[in-house]
This record gives sequence, structure tokens and C-alpha cells, in this order.
Amino acid sequence: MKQVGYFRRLLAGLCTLALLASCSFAPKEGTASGLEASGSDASNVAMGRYIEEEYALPAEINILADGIDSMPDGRLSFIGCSHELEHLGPWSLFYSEDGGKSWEKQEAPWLQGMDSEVISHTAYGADGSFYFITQSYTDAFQETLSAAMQTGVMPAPEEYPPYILHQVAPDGNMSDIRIQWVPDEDGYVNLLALHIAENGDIVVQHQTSAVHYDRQTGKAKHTFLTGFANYNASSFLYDDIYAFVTNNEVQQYSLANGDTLDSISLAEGDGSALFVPSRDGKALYRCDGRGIYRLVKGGSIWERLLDGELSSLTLPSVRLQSLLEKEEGFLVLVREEGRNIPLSYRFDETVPTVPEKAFTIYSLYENSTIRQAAGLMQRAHPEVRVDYTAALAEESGQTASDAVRALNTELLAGKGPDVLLLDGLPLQSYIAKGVLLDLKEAVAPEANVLLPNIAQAFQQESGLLAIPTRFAVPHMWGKDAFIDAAADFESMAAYIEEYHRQNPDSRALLYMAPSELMEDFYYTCAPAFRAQDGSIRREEFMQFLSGIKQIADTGDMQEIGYPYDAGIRSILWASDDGEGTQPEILCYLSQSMEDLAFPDAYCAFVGGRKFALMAGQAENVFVPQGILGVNRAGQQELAKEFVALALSERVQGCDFEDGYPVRLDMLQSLSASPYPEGDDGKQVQIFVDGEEKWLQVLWPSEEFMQGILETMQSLSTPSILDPVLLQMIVEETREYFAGSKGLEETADAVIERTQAYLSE
Amino acid sequence: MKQKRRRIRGSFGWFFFVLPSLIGVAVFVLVPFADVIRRSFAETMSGTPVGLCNYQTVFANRAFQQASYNTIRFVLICMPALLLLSLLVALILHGQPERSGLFKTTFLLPMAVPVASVVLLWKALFHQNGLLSSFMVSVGAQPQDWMKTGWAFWVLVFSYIWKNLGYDMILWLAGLAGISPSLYEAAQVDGAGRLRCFTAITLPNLLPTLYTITVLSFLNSFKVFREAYLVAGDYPHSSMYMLQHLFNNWFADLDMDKLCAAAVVVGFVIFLLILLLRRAWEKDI
Repeated sequence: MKQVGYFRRLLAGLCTLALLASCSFAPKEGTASGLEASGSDASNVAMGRYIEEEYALPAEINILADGIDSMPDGRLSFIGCSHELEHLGPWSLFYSEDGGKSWEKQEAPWLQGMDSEVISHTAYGADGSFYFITQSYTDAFQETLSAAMQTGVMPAPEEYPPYILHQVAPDGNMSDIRIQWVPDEDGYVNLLALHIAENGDIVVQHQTSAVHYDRQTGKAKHTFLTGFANYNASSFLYDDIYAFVTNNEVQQYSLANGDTLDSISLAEGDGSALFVPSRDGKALYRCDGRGIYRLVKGGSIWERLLDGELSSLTLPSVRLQSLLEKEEGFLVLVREEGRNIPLSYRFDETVPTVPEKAFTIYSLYENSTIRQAAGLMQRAHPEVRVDYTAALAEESGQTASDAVRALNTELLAGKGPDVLLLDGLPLQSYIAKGVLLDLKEAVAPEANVLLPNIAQAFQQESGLLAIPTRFAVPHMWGKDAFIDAAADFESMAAYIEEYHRQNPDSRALLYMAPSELMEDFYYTCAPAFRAQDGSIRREEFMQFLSGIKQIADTGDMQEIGYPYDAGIRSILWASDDGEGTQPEILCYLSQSMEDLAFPDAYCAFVGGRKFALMAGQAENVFVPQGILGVNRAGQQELAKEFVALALSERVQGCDFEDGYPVRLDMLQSLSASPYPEGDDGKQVQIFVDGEEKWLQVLWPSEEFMQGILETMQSLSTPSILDPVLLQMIVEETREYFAGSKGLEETADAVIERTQAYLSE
Repeated sequence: MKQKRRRIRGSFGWFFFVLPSLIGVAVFVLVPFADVIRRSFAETMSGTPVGLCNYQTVFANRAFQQASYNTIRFVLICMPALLLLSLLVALILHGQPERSGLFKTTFLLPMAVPVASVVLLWKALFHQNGLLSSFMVSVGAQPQDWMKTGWAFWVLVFSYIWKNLGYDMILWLAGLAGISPSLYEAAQVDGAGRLRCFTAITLPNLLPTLYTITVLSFLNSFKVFREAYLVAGDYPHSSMYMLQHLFNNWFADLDMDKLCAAAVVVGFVIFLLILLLRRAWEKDI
């Protein structure tokens, strides 16, 4: 008995010890097991990654004919000109013998006399011959094009100058190759890419197909139906196979017999990536904003060689042009801020694969401005991993509420990201709880160029705790009489009602359903019907509802549903499909100077129309966007540097159509016309009186833009959409707009319904 | 002396068996609970003590008042209804033991249905374009989204009773099975009718079971938040806005100070209620 009791106690003690001991051997973060963590940490850190180095092209070169080519002997070459926007001569040939680091101009007598030639595509043959395609843009043809812009009727296919393929042999002699170009379905010959096969045959990507031309006869041997190709679609040759890249696969065609081969699957959206076969022919490389990847021939896994987030590839302002494999590493030609920049990537075994120190930026939704700032921050600090997380990325399955709760858990634990993009987050709560740091110091270097009315929208007694990096402005365009009558929301609604009475077939706005009207006019009316504490002002809210009803009752109340952006709204406003449903007024949230160009061009085209700030119950409304805040518990110095970078010229000067810059100097810069004198701008297809027309869209006048700048400097009422409140209002007012409930009863119901939410 | 030492040593033997589980409970339940109480007297981020300020804010908060009212209303309506209905069903099934198997299964099935499926069912039934609205249209009435009207509260009540009826029924049946048949025989011999048997024998013997069922049903009443949240989101119709909705939203807004204070208040009230119930039962017994 005594022994049994003794063993029982011993057993209990051993079980307890075992349980407690097993808890203490939990592996530390970043190591395989806790035992290893006690040894040297440095030996477990993975080493080696591709390091980016920015090269430069010759200063006088602005445009490259067709990117950078890799010559059979390993050197690199390109043909370029000094024009800012036009692919016209005089052209120059450059070689590089050190992988793109330096460039030497070459003598090229065959380029002389090509000043009025457009060189569009270049390639090397296996024998070292150089091939390029030209089109002769004579003065006469350029006048024909300008005339076409005025009338909106494009020249016929036969009026266009023919494409000519030239071959320059290794000895420098140039000859022309006659090719019978195959037109696309629209009758025009559109060439997008040039490739030279091993046997010297020509393979050209057209707009809706790829054609394999026989070099001797110039006739088409095989036609590959690739489908519609964008101008920057990727295509390449390897092993007697022609490969064309679409959004989700690499189509492959045999040059030997024209058969369609098995395609290689890609992740959705890879259509803008660059592809190139490896020099040894054993693999395929892919380059996009996420990095550089390799697929071994016959394999199915894309191995990541370079993380895009640790390079400039992830910058939204960067446009990938071409990808080359060098002796050591890669050369990626990108276009950024109007410059062509070769980026060289070389593997360095002495640096950690991933920088040990992390700097985190958090947002609910992907934001191009913040992505740009994050990329520049990474460039400036290669020793730090700048990690930008968009919680609700496309593939994420979580809701906004889940994301906010997860974020709050981290903040409560004293951790969390270093910088927060506060759009969609409980901004006022974070301010009230002391989560955010005063940004006065961070903003100080740029303070005198920021728009004070915008930048200080969130100024508190305790300091400047949040700052918008962008802002949007509710605009409207319409007939002079409409705009003059729409001094405020009430008079606008009354005018629309009266106009509809006189013109029963008219349609005031694109979106006419009550829910859609409330969303459009929320920005300009909410500051009036919401008090400082967030509660709803009854009288003003009733005015809002009755105004919406007045406008909605003139339409058919059917929801369009699809959220058209400013650009498409503009085109729909300007287009008449012949059935009289063209909206009278264009209302939208303007986020870019580009948003003003089309409506301005249309108003000038038809006359009798003008622009104004969107009517509402409040005046001088703007919508702060890209609101940055710094976590007090994070890395404050780096965070302040990030905020300053986001407000710098380099970021604010980029137009990602996600809002106007908050810097006055960049606002002025972006208001200037991007088109050089004599440029024909853009052409947009519209319908006028049921007929298809091409509208030439240039840039608004300096006087108009000056007025816009003055207006923006006078904006004083920030308005942020509250989707929860709006949804409650939409749900509670359905019966009112259906006519089965009175105005006062509805207003009281809304106030009662929103009470819990607003009083939380 | 040796015997006393042995007795003392023996009396602590249980502790070593309980210790691992106790540590787990302490780490995952008791310590966080103590932290909540601490946070209820402090600011959210800085942790600076603020005394009873958070409690004052909570009691003065309109949203808390509304959520509390709705929760109390829900409990006061649902629980008696559930107890009575489940007892009635249990009595019927207890009286027909040969045919009760299928019915027991039927009443227990709702407990096995996942919450997401229940939510889908409610949406199909009560949506503006759902089955109930279609029926209303067929009799000439207007269709409506029932979950966005005052009817939402009654949908929740129905959902709660439907889900928990089987569980309570089983507990009642277990209690009924524990009453000796000889008591009924003796009462019948003395001339007692069915009603008298029920009030004098069945009910008094079911009191311990009633205590258990009441406490469990009370705790289960808080679980109805899952259906309410999945159907109507963070901000449902005001009649359905419960304490859990408020706590959920306070967490999303980082109002941990108010959340902790309200949680302590609610926890204290529930604890008090259970103590009172226990005291009342002990008195009766």
C-alpha cells in the first residue's frame, strides 16, 4: 500500500514535469526548432539574392525603337532617337559590351536618310544579321492624319505607308526583304513584334494573329490565330516554336508544320509580364511586378529568383519594356517618368536573401501611391525589407471587418504595422485612442508646398495625426442652363423636376435609382446633414431625401448597378445612342487632371455646356484619400521618412488616377498639357445623333486649368464616405422612394436605426 | 506524526494531477479574465488608470442601453417559451416510449445543422425575394425583407427555440426517467389524478433538472448571435441588436476600455443570476 501511494505520487510528478517541459521546447520564430535557436543565429540565415543596379542610357536618347536586343555574340544593342514622343529620326545605333553598364555609339551609314522613317521593330538573326522594320511618315501623310483627327474619319488601309523589312548583314550591307503582309480583320496591317527564326524566316505578331513568313518568297507560310494582342503583348521564339503570351497561358505553335502545341498555364493576369527563353534553351524566364521567375523546360513550377518587392519592379510608375538574360544575371529595361532605365540584376552571395529588419505598411485595399512610396523606400533602404500589405487583396477571402479586427489585435498587443493607410479604418477611433503619432515633424520639410486646406484636414489640438496623400473632388458638367440653375442641391432638384416636366423623355443623370443617387450626392450633402458628433440632423436630412426623390421620380428608378468610373461616365454622357437616353448632367468624383480633358473637349465640340463643382447641401467639398498615419508603437523614424517620401515630388508627381496630389507644385505640374505642340492628343469614339464620331481630345486651356487650381485651393469641407451609414439609409428609405411611407416618418426611422451605430 | 504527515501528503496528491489542466485554464481563461478586469479600469492604449470612468461611459451609452434591453427582452421571452415547450414535448414523448425514437431524432436534428446552413435557410425564407414574401405576394400583400423589419426579433426567437428544443427535451427526459414509477403508483392508489400527479410528483422531482436546463439555456441564448450576425451583419435591425453586436463593433473600433467594462458588468450580472438561481434551488430542495 505504501509503495502504491509512492508510485502514484511519482507518476503524477513525472506527468506534470513532462507536460511542462514539452511547452518550453516550442520553436522560436524563424528557426527550425528551439534547440537550434540556442546556437549561432547567423549560420541559419539564408544568404544570397539578386541586387539591383540602375544603369543609364546615353543622355541624348529619349525613345528606343524596340527595346534592347541581345546580339548572338553576347553584346547588347539598341536603336534610339532624341524625340520626346515620336518614333522619328535621326536614329542612332548603340552597343554595350559590359551588360548595359555603358554604351558606345556605332557608325551606321544605313541609318542615314531615315529621319522621316518610323523604326518600330528590331531583331537579330542567328547569323548576326540585324533586321528592322520601317514606315515612311512623310509630311503629306502626317497632314492626312491631322485632317483625319478633325473629321473623325480615319484614312483607308491603302493610304497608310507600307511596312518595309530591312536586313543589315554583319558586313554592314543593308538590303530590303519583300514581305506580303497579311492584314488583320479590320483590313489594316498592324505589326506588334518581330522575330527571326533559326533558318532566317520572319515571324511577326499582328494584332489578331501571328504570321510565319517565308524569307525567300515573302509569302505567309503559317498563320497562328492568337486572338487579339495588346501593343505590349509578349512573344518569343525558341526551339522552332513560336510562343505568344495571353493573360493566363503561353500559347505555342510549331514553325515546322504550323500545328498548335500544348500551352503553358500561367496565373491569371500575367499578360503584361515579359518572357524570354534562357540562353542555354533549358528554361523560360518571366518578369513582372512580382519579380523574376524561372520555369525549367518540362516543369510546372515557376521558381522565384527575384522578389519584386525588394526591387523597383513593383513600382506602379515603372513600365516593363524588355527582359534579357546576361552572362551574369538579367537586364530589365523599364520606362519611368518618361525615361528609359536599364536595371541590372546580379546575384550577390554575401547579402541575406531577405533583409532581417522589416518595415511594414498596412492598408485595407491596394493603393498605387503607397505602393510607389514603398518601392522608393525599398530602393533607399536595401538593408530593410519594406513590406506593404493590402489586407483585402484580390485573392483574400476575409472581409473588411475581419481585417480590422486582426489589425486591432496587433495594435492592442503593442505591435502592428509601422505605417497605416487609414482609408476604411476607424480613423477617428485611432485618433481618439492615441494610436497615431503627431506627423508635424514628418511633414515639416514639405509643409510650404502642401495645400493647407487639404493637408490639415485632420489637424487636432493634439497635433496632425493623419494626413491625406491624395484627394478627389466631386464635379459636374452639363448644359449652361442646368449648371447655372444648380447653385445648390435644392435648386438643382427643382430644376431637374421642371425640366423633366417640359421634356418628358429627358434623363437628368446617368445613375437615377435612389440608392445610386444617394451614393453620388452623399459627398456633397453629408457634411450638412451630419453634425460634428456624427449624429443626423433631422431637417437637413429631410431636405436631402426630398431632393433625391425629386430627381429619382423623373427617371425609371432602375439601378444600373455597374460602377462606371469617371472616364466611362464621361463617354456615356457624351454619347447618344439614338434613343434619347443621353444624360443631361455628368456627375462624378474627379481624381485626375485626365478626368477633365474629355468633358472639356466634348463641351468645346458641342458648345453650350460647362463645368462646376457638384451641387450639394455643403459647399467646397473635397474627399481626402490615401490618408496616412504612423503607429506610435512602430519604428517612428523610418515611418516619418516614409510619410515625407509619400508627400515628396517623386511620388506626388506620378498620376495613378487615385486622386489629385496634395502638393501645389505637383498639382500645377500635372495641370500643364502633356502633349507637345502639334500633337493630336487622343481620339475617343462617341455617338452623336446616333452616328459614330471620333472626338479629338486635347488638353483644357491654361485659363480653365488656372480656374481649376484656384478652386482646389479654396476647398474647405472634407467629406469621407461612411458605407455603413449609407447602407442603413438606403435600406430604411426604400419604402419612402416607393411612395408607401412619408418623409418625416422615414427620417425618424433612419435616425432611430442609425442611433446604435452612431452612439457606439 | 508519521500518520499525520502521510495524511497531509496524501491530501495533496490530487493537486499534481490537476495542476497541468489548472495551468492551462489559468493561462487561457483566468489570466485573460483578470486582464479584462484590469483594462476595464484603464485607457485602451496607454493603460493609464481611469477609475470608474469607463463604467460611467458604458452605462450612459445609448447603444449599450439598447443592446442590453434587446438581450434581456430576448432572454425573458425565449427562455420560458423554450422551457415550457421542451417540457411539453418531453412529457408527451415520455408517455409514448414505443413511438418516441423517431421524434427524438427529429427534434435533435436542428442541433446538428451547421450555423451557416441555418443562415442560408433563413435567407431563403425571409429575404425580400424569399419563400415567405412569395407567399405574401400570392395572398395580395407586399413583399418585404423580414430581417430588416421588427419581425427580425421573432425570427431570432424562433431560431433559438428551434435549435435548442431537442437538447432541452433530452435533459427533461433524463429528469423524468429519474422519477421512480412507484411514486405515481402510490399516488394513483391514493386517488390522485394526472394533474395532481404532475404538480405534486413530477414538478418537484424535476427541480434539479430545471436548474441545469435553465442555466444551460441561458448560456445558449447568447449563441444566437452567430445566426444574427451571419444573416444581418454588424448592424442588424434595431430589434435584433444584441450585446454581442455591440462588443463586436467596439472591438473593431478599438474601444477596448468600454468593451472590457461592459464585459465585466455582463459577466457579473450572469454570475449573480446563477448564484441566485442556485440559492433559490437550494432553498426549495
